[in-house]
Amino acid sequence: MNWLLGRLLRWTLGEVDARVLWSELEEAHNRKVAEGSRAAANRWRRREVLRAALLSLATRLRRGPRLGRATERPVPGASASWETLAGALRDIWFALRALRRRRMFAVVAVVTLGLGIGAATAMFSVVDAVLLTKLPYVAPNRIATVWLGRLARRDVEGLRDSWNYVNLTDDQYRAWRQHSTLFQAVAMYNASPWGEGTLTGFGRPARVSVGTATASLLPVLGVNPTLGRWFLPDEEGGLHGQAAQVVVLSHEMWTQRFGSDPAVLGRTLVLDGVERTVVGVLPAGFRLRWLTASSLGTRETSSKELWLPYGNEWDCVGCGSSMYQAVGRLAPGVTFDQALSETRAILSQDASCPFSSCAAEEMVVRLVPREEDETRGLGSPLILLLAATGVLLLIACGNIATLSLGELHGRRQELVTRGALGASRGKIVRQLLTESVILGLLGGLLGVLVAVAATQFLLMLAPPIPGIAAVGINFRALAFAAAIGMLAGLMFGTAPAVLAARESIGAALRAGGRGSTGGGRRFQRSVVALEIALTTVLLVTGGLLSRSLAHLLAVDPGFDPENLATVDVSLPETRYPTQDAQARFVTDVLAQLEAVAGIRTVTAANGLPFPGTTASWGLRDADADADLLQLSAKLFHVTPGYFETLGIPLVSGRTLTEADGRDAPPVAVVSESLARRMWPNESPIGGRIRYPWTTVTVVGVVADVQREALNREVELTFYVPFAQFTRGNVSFAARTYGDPRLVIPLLRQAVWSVDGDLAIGRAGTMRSLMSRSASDERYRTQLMGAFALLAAVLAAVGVFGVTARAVAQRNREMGIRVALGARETELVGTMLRGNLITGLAGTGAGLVAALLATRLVSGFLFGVRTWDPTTYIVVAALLSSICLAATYVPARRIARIDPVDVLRAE
Amino acid sequence: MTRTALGDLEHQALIATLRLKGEAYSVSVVQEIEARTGREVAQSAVFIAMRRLEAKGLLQSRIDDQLEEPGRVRRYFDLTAAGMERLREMRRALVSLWDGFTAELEGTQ
Repeated sequence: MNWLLGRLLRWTLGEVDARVLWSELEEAHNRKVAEGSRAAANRWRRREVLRAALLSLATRLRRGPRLGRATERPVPGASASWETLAGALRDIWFALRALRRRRMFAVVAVVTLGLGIGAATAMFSVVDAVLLTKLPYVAPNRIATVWLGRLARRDVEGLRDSWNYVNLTDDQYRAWRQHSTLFQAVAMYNASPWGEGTLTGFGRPARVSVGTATASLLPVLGVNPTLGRWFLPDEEGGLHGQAAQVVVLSHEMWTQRFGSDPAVLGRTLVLDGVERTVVGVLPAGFRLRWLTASSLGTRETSSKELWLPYGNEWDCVGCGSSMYQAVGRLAPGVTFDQALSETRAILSQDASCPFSSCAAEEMVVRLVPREEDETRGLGSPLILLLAATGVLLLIACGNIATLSLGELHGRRQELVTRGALGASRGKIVRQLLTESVILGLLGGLLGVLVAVAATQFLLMLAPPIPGIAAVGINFRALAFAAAIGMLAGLMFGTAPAVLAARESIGAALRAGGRGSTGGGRRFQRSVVALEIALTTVLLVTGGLLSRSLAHLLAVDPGFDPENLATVDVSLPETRYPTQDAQARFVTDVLAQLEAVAGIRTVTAANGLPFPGTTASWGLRDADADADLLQLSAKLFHVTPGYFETLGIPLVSGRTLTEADGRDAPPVAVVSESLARRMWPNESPIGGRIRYPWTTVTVVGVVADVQREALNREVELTFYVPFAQFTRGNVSFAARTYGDPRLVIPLLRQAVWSVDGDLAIGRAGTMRSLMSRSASDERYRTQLMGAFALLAAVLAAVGVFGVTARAVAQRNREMGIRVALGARETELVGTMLRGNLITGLAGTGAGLVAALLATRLVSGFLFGVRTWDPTTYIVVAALLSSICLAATYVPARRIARIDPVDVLRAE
Repeated sequence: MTRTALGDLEHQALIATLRLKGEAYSVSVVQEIEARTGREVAQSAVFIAMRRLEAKGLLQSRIDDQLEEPGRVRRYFDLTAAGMERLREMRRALVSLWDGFTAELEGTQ
């Protein structure tokens, strides 16, 4: 403690005085100890030291404001660095006093900045969490994902975007694991969205997401479980048999369903009717993205709740389905190129392919760094939004710059006096800059508070972006806010300060502290024009995104989404092991629902549009000669009445009926685009399609349907009778007479009345599912729109402020002109004309800039060109009107000028 | 040189320095002021005030580290000619301001 006090004294008083005062305090202290308690004496000494430090600081600061004084006696014993610090403290002290005198200006500036910085900081924290935060793996740059591309598929309709994002089959993985030498360890996992199971024994049966992985997955990633362990190699199943019945929980599952109870280890869970032992819990923030050919967007995340060892019921061991993502950690010293050529050699020899033609087709093997895969497709929308907040902040800075320049005119007298008293220009500029930086920092402080609230808001709106759960205002975000606050302060402070210093002395004296000089007015005009230009860019971008979203939501999905209620159920194989059992369950539920009042028709399928997660299969014409893969199409298993209930129009032939039962000949209905592709010149009816297991005869053609998202190309689709082919997942859809939301509980009840142990997954109206499919688009459109509107408001405030000040400053000129007979309308017209020119210049420049800038968003646009004339015209008209309105309101004040008053004031 | 007004404490410290005749340092000045005015003053404040008076040219000081008790250091202050002159002026001004009121004030006590 004494050491600390001594340091404090030395720092404030200098070495010598500190020693003297300490010694003299010691004398009095000893006396006080002798008189009374030591504790009281110690307290007294502490107080005295603090007082000395404060008084000494205050003495120095008090010397500061007299900038006009040429010489100042340095306090004896003070060091040079102390003098610098004292100078800085003096500047700060003085700036605070100056700002306190102009409280209104300070508050407006800090609030404007706070909003700008808050928006930017909130966006930054999202970017930070999603893109900048290092993956929670050991040395993530040494982990690679294996991707396959089949060149033959590059030109296949429906696979054009994704032909080189094909996962591995488990056989291919086994070959890779066996023969690769350049990897420390390799692993595979399946976290596909249709990995779901039913958890029973905890209240209502719950549908949980299930992932499958090899025992090597965590070692490859370099991740350790929070609790317990990961799978052991001999718990894996495979060609030799079933996997062990063990399960690892995600951290969320553990905290939410098990209250973070460490005793969860060793407990048994009933998943799909099978008891499994919990052996471990994954760490919080475990992140492993699942990318597939069809989900390269932002939607799919790996928030699997339960993980099972590979070789369980969810895996189709040796089936040849490409459903495994293979990852490997490079051995030390091995480059990606070396590893790639080895992997390519191993996989190109592999012939595990459902078609005899696979071996012949050229296969592309790629190794992609894991970091790239984890953030693919996430970056550009977020960076775009961050850039938008940057532009917003620039506009805010522009506003404060014009505002503070205006303030400087008011302070002209003060600056002139100070200059006359000998303060150098440098000193005045430093003083003004200090004020700006302090405003910037205060704005940053407010910005942090705004950002804390705004991130909560962003999280509420956000689609499930991987890593977004970790968003928060951390140290980096704080540093960001402080840095941009300071930068903003310098930005809006520099120009006015320099202008002020240049003009303050001579010009101001001549002007008698009145009137705005040409340089200042030009500067204000250019800043306002710049603000308008930036606002134009944001408005155009926001406008394009809004129009794109409107187009997206107006897309005809190919069926009638109104009055459709849906519910998803998964049928565990353990409870429904046979096709007959599954079909019986579906029939029973449909029978229940048909009796419900308010339901017009009802149907079941293995999946419904939006998101329509079902597998794609390679098809070919069974009667064609060439044994080549022709197309890839989605397969749906549907009950009779499916097309009628969803409102999918029949184009030719017939739909599926009750007659297409289990023992009837296998038939299919195909989508129009599939029919066109496969039988371009003949009727598809009677044609035969071969896909991996069987051959079906086409009996009908129906219209195309949008399935996964509204902005995707229509997928080729074929439908087969549910009775002939069933799968584990069932969705029910009911066409209602009235509000479909009222029917959803009835759907649930019907399912549970047939089997009370089934978990119900998603339930909702088709409209809400469709709207959810556009959540990414809506998110960025809403945010961009909000930023653009905020920008427009700021720009309007800027124009308003500059005009109001100009009117006030040109009071005398206007008064004289009125006295000389000028009409008010002419004077207002002059003002309007001047600002309209500024506004048009800004808008024009902004439109050109927008043409260039919107190229960045072209990838996000749907049904709108980046140069969409409507958007540009509307934005230009909007900004011009804003500009005129913001001019007219303050300019009208001219009309109230009484020339007599003005001249009397002279 | 422009004249700056003196604060209460500075004023009292100057007078105490005069009274202590070369023996004025923070401890003795504090005792002197407290004994005469009955008002408590902070030792640090007195020290800083006297250094400030020195900077204004009214006091001068010397450091004494050859005291009986080893390791002790004191800064002794003395009035400069300017300080002496300032005290005289202040006294003259006060006396002339108070002139003629002595009887009333004594009487009200």
